[in-house]
Amino acid sequence: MGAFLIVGLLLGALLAPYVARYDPTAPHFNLRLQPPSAAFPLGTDSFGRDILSRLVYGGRISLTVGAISVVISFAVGVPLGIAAGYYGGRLDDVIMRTVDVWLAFPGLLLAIGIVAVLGPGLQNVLLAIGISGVPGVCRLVRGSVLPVKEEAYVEVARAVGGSEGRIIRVHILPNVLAPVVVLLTLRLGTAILTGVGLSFLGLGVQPPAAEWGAMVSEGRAYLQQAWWVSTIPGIAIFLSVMGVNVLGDGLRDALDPRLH
Amino acid sequence: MHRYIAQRLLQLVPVLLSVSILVFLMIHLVPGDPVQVMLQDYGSAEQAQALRHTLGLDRPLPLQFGLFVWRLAHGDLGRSIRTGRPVASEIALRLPYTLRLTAASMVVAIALGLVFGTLAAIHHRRLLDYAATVVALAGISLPSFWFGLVLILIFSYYLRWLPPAGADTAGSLILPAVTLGTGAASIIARLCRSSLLEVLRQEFIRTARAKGAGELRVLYRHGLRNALIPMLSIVGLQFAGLLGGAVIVESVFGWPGLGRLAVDAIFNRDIPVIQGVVLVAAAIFVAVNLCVDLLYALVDPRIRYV
Amino acid sequence: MLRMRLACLLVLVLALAVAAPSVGAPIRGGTLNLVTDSDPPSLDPHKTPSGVFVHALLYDTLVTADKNTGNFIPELADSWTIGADGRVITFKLHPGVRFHDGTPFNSQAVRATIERLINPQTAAPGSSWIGPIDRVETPDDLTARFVFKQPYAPIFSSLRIVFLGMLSPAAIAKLGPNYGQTPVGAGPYKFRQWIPGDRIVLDRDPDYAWAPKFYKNRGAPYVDSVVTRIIPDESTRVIAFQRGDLDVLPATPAAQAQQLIASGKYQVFRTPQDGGLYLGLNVTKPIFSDIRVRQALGWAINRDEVVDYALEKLAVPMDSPLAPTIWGYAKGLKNAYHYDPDRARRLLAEAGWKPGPDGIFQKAGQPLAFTVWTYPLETNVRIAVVVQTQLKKAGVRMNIEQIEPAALLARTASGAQDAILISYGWPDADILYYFFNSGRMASTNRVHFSNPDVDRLLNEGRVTVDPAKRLEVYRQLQETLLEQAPWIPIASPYTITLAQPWVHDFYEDKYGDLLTDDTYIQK
Repeated sequence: MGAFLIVGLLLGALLAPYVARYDPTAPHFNLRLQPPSAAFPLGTDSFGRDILSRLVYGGRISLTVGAISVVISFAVGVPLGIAAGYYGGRLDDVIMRTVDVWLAFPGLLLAIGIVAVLGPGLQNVLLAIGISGVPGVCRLVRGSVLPVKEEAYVEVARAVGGSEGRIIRVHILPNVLAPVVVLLTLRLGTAILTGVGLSFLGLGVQPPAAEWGAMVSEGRAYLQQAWWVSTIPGIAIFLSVMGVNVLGDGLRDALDPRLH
Repeated sequence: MHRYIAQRLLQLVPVLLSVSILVFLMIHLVPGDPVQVMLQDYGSAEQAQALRHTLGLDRPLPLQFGLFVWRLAHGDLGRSIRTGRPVASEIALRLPYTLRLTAASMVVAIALGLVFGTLAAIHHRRLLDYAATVVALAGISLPSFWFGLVLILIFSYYLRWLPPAGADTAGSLILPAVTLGTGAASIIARLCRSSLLEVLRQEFIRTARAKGAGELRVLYRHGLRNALIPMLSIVGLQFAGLLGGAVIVESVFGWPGLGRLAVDAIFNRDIPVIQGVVLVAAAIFVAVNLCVDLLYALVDPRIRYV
Repeated sequence: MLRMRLACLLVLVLALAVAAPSVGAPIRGGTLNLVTDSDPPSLDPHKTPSGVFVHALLYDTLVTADKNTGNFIPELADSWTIGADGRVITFKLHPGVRFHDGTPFNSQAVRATIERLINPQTAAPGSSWIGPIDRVETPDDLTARFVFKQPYAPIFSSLRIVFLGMLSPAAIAKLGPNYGQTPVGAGPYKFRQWIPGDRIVLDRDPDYAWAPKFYKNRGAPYVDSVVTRIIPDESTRVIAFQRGDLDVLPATPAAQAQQLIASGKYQVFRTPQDGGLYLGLNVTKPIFSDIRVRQALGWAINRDEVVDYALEKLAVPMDSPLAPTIWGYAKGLKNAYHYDPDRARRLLAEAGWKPGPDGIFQKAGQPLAFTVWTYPLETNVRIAVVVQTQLKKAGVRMNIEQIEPAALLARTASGAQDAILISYGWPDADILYYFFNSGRMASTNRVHFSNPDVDRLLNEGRVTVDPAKRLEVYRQLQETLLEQAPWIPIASPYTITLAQPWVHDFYEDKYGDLLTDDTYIQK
């Protein structure tokens, strides 16, 4: 089920220029806060911008933020986790203590801090969310490497004279793969939501760019008179994050050998 | 056992020190300084200089950090640049509120999580499983600033059951706790479901059932108790993480907790407060993790720390 | 018969006596619930960068503004005389005034307050507002003489604001730096409790008896206490108000205000702000070094549209760097801008810019584009978005970047920005000194503007004591500033304050101060 949601969203994002009838940043000042109609299927916001157009273009941004920041988290976290788990000893200690410190930092505050240092804007938001996700990934990966490390077949491989790199690739990675894939989908959801939270604080994507978090934030002031401005992007966020999570759950069920 | 505890506590020191250094560096990398924020457009350059000197902000960075550590060793967290109150007071004034909110959120999270997780596990692969999972997932899929406002509109405005903001009545805690707790509830629900599923399949369950034990008893005695262990670690992580996640909820509900103190301090460049709050947050995190690990040992007789 | 008549009369009188209170006589008692969006840093006026209305409830000042005319009238000072050369002002103080701690208010208190204000150790953000003061003399208990090094015309505007509220010397001596945590003033309410992040509670001062003349009630306020809740989120504040938890909703942003006004249920106070929002152009940047480009922006912006769509019609367009309610504002300025996109295009063409293929002007391969920094506030962002659309139509690309105040203040000092879109507020034209004097480029002169005529006029405005002459100086100054266009003035939003129907006799003066001495609650 989650797969369907994700595919739907991806299609929407990719096809945005065809689905959207209007420029997402073009205001129609005399048609502000219109409820859904034929001309504007999802209504207009407080500047008279078409919500449907903003929604699909915004999807691109929100999903990109989620995807790229997760890639950053994993690109850094997986190697660190493998290194810590496989080589153990001092390296393990150093890495894990650093990760602990990282983790001890309240998540949103870390993202706020990084954006404050680097300045607002899409790239820095990606970096900030990506960085704050590294410790969790690292911990999990290490946790999956540890049990495998001691397995007999790894000993055998070493005894036979295989190179470290090959051992890691052939024996360790496949075991790590399953939980990593699951975590990836879960972190995607968190990343999207953190991006949304940063927009709420004004530290995310800059106006007038359409981004779901900014749309929800802008629309809050009108919640009582024009509920669709804030609620529709909110539902979009909800569906995409949920889709990702359901996908992750499904994957976990499918990949977990113990449940079969 | 005692040696283990002592070892873990000692590890606190380098962790806290590293966190402090990181925060210190970050603050000084960010453009803007507290004196400018305080005087804004109105002070003169000489005044700004004088104030910076009084606050010791014109000293070289390593010296400033050294002074911070020295004072910390004597239990002095310094004074807020913005209000002049001791940082320890600022934190002490808000910590009880944060603890109350976190505790209440955990109660909500555990209650909701257990209910939905159990439902899903019992009716595995049937409609109720999917339905419960979806509802549970709603918690971490909704932006809290939107969800919170919707709750306020419904329960505070239309139904008039609960107050919209503030922390004065017992009822003020409910809406923010629910908003904050639903996120953790999702994670606990999923964990509960998967743990229960795993356990329910094991041999000794079949044995117990064969012995004729009632379904519920089986569920509880064997299922839930074993699901507890991974759940404990999640609870610990969530507890610590709620400090940062509470920022938005505290803003929306006007809850006077540490999250808002931290964000306001960042925007005001109130260096001593930022350092103090992060330090306290990190300390709480490490302490909670330690407690969780100790609880592990209590719950699972196989785990022992030598 | 007579007995019957007397009895009827008695019943009538009794009936009237019972009915009278429900026919508009003030009721003593009750709590007035106000709200603000964040804690003030301190309740000590010497430690606060900007006034919060809570301070005005705690402290009284020497002079205040008449609620109807806006003229300066006595508060703690009964009268004053100005020395011939304008350098000396002698105040006669109101007798019988006591601080909340019971100590008397006298000239020693005035001197102690001013000395603490200008003491560099205090580092008071408001210290420059007292101007070039030399000393305060105290010939007797009820006479305080201010002696300035040069005449300082803006002094009365300053004395009115709560930065210069009177403090109790005894409390200063006892509390020192903790004054702000348990404040002592001579205002109508005294301090009871402050729960940071949650609320500030003040109680009526029963001994208060020196309210300004425009009040019907010259004595202690009718309400028992004033509770100021602290709620950072605008939407939550609005709901709390709609629910009745709050009696007064001060300073509501346009989007929320407009829906509450439309409901027709509440009393609405629309006060023009003594300031507004402007586009500040960094004149040292190549793109803005040509005066014609700056002026073109002035003609390209449609201020009426900004007022209608960004500010829900709850604002006035600004035709001068000064808002209409600021002392010194001149009407009918010749150089004022209005919406004239053709003129803007002509000026840009004159300056060598040609329209490019995407509609944006170009010169030597570079587009006419700049980035504007603004605070992440709803009002600022909405105006920026509308202006962005208008400039795009005119062929100028403006990018928006939201920056939090601390970072913006720091980075503009070095002139890193192209332009800023922010607001200011001050009741006196002297504020322009801080924004345009060439000597302030490292601090408040964010546009890095330097012009000898402007400098001369700014200095003249400070020392010209005769109001008519002073107005003329500022008229010239405004014409010059408009022509030079380092600022493009946009709009001055109203400060919208809403009150529940059961709040009676509550007013707001032209400065947006909440006047509550007559206020009573009747549900």
